[in-house]
Amino acid sequence: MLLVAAALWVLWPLSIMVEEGFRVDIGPLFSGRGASFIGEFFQGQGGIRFSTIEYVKALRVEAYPRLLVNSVIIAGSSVLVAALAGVPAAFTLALYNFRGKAWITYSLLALRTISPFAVLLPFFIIYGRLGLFDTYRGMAIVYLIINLPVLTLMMRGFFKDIPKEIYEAAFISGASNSYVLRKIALPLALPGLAAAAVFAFVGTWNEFFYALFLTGTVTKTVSRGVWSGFSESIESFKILEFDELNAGGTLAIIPAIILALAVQKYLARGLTLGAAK
Amino acid sequence: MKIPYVFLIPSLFIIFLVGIGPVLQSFLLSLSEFSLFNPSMRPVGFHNYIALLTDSIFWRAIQVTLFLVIGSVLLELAAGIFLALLVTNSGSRSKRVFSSIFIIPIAIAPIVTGILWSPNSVFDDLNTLLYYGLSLGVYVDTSLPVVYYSLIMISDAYIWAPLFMLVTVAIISTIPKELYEAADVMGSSSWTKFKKITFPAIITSPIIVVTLLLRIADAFRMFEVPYAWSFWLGQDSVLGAPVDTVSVLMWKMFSSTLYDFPIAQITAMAIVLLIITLVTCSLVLKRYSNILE
Repeated sequence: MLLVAAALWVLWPLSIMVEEGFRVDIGPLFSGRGASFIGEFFQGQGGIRFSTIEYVKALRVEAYPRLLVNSVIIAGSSVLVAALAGVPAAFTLALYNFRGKAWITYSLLALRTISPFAVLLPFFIIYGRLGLFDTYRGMAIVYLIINLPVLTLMMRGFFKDIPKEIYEAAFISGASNSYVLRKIALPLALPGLAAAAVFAFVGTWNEFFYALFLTGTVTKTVSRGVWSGFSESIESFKILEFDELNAGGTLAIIPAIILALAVQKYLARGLTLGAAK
Repeated sequence: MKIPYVFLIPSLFIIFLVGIGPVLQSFLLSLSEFSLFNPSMRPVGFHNYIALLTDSIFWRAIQVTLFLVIGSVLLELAAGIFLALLVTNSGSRSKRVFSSIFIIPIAIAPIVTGILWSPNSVFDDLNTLLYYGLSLGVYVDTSLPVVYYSLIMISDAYIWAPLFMLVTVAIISTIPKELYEAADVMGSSSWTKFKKITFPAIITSPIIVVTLLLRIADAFRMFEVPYAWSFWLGQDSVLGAPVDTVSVLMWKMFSSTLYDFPIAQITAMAIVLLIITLVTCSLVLKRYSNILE
């Protein structure tokens, strides 16, 4: 009984969002279904007619597919770079003790928790000068802030999980570090690497703040499009339409939810940066 | 075996490129009078910081931020433990189904919860039921501070309570069964068992400490939900009013970008926020230093 109530807590707002996307009305912002009460005012009815127009509009008239490609390119390339840099570092952090190790882990943790404005404005200024503003390269670099700590710290945990005897046996037979990483550690930790990559991908997909400032007409991502509409323009002064927002939100969360359910087993581990086994 | 320092170089390079470098530059900017329309790097010392510390709106923003951070993290923790107890005490089949349902929100973008918990979605249903369905003549006014502050907390908890659920389930599975059997022998009620065995085990676990740490650090920079609420409440009332309504620190920084974009002042605030987060992290990590090893 309580279980069902808790499931309702999760699914009720979601069901409203999906359903509201299938509705159309005339009023601009304040037009949910049923009666709205905001402040002292009674806001009339809205969203009473069933229609697929908002979804069709997002997919066919506006550029949801284009924004999806943008998001995939940015998140994918950022995760790839983070994996190439992070996996060897994770291997070293997992196997060896050396001076400054705690500092490296700490700075990764700090990078993960950094307050965005402290790094955003230098990026904003430098990107303007270098012409990286609103480019895939620029966005992929910015998202390393999120992806490098996630990949490195998660992979460190997975490398630590492999029994020490396996590493020792390899090193005694004279294998080099890069051989052990490529031929022994990485194949054993491959499911973990996949999970970490998917995980970082979802995080980048959902990221809104950096996208709001640093993407433009070329690289606008899906999560930015949720709020300002899925067209390829920026539309800072667009009037928000509630039904459009809901259709947009629904389209934006579907890929993320599918990916998250696929790595369900590793979710706790990823979100605690490898602390939860 | 030789330590492969060369493996660390790409990561250290990236940490410097996207982390340390920009933060240092932010710090330099915060010591100047740089703004979007006044690109002069003339140093003004700690003027921006002093101006901040004597600014009542800034202190108000710090208060609001702290209040929302503490509120939402506690709510997440409580809701997560509650969900975890529900899941662990159910049969294996419903356990699988329901934990899959409960973790759906983890994947939802924070900006979308601004829609999910907007005044128009859940509260339309609720108010219609209260006002017309039950003819009570009362309704929940989402423009009241007490309502929208709790809704911002709920929006955050909606996403992150499932994480605490997953973590708590993992911790509960490590509690030895003998403890519960001993408690059964002594005839303890299930509430006593929760109070004496389960809850202390959850709270003292280093895993929950890491989770709390990450969540607190994330909550300090909560932006998307206040951003959404600035639209629901009317942006003018948020931007123009002397005491901003949903003015968390992040929102205060963002809203000044909409007017004159005083980069130096914003970076000063960002550095203050960064210091708050780093100090919080360091205090926790000092006590639980094994996390970093």
